[in-house]
Amino acid sequence: MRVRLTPRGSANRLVGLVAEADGGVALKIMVTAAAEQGKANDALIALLARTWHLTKSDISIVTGASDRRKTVHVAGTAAQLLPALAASVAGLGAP
Amino acid sequence: MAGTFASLIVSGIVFHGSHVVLSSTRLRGNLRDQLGERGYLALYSVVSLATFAWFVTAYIHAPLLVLWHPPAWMVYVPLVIMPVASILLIAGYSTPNPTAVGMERVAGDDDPAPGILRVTRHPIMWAIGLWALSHIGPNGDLASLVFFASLALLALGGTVLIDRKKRLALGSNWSRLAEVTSNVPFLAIIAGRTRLRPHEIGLLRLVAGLLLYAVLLLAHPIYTGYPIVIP
Repeated sequence: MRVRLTPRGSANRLVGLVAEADGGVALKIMVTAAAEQGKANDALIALLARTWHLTKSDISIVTGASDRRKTVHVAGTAAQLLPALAASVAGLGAP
Repeated sequence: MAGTFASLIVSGIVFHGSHVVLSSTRLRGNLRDQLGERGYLALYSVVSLATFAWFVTAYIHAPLLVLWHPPAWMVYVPLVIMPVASILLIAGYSTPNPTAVGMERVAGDDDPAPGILRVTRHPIMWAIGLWALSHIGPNGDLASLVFFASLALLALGGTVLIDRKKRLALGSNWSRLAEVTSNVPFLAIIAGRTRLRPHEIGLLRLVAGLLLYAVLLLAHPIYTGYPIVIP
């Protein structure tokens, strides 16, 4: 899953979907933690784990650990994860 | 801008402290003597709103420090409790209440506690308390624990402080009221001291309460950034 993370944000929250330059779509997420010593990444993982009722070990950052644009791997089957993903994106509104 | 736990704690102490000190200590009487009833209430409202806005802002900006991993089923706790809290809030605001500020005269009515007051004489306080309590478990982080637990304590502890003040202010009308009501919801009904009369609450209040619940639930991802994923 593609994520665009804003560190030092005004809240810890899912913001919505954003269009990427290559035509893809990313989930925009904001955390209050600063992008230092992996704090923002830890907050991102904690936020997603709570939202989708997973443990922290289910979520890992595959690429972009030190970048705003990240690829996040979520452990589980598509059948388990897609409804949770759809439900969380549906409530956020259009990009 | 990212906030700190220190600003959350300080804003919490100022909000809760000013709320209790202005309403339940000798300062209340002194201020009322100097400013008059209206002046005192205006001051209390302004201080409460400003300090509460500060507390909410500090909570939103606070770091995310996970204390426990909420199991998936915990989402159902607020999902089940919030309809009750929403109905208590709507019915509470639309029913004259002898325990409310400036409403002491209602205690002399033929029936001092109709409608939702048969359930609890503090419907608004219980609405706030249930909202706060039900949100502690499913969040599981330090800032949410501080925010929701302290608000639950203020709302539910506040019912005891209000009762103490009203016992003095209402005199014999207090005993009349206390006889047919309870602080804890449904206790007076269970004890047989009053009866639940749903028609007094009315369909309109129930529907309005459930409508409020639906709006709070559907808009939750927008105003909190936290989508509710039902397992």
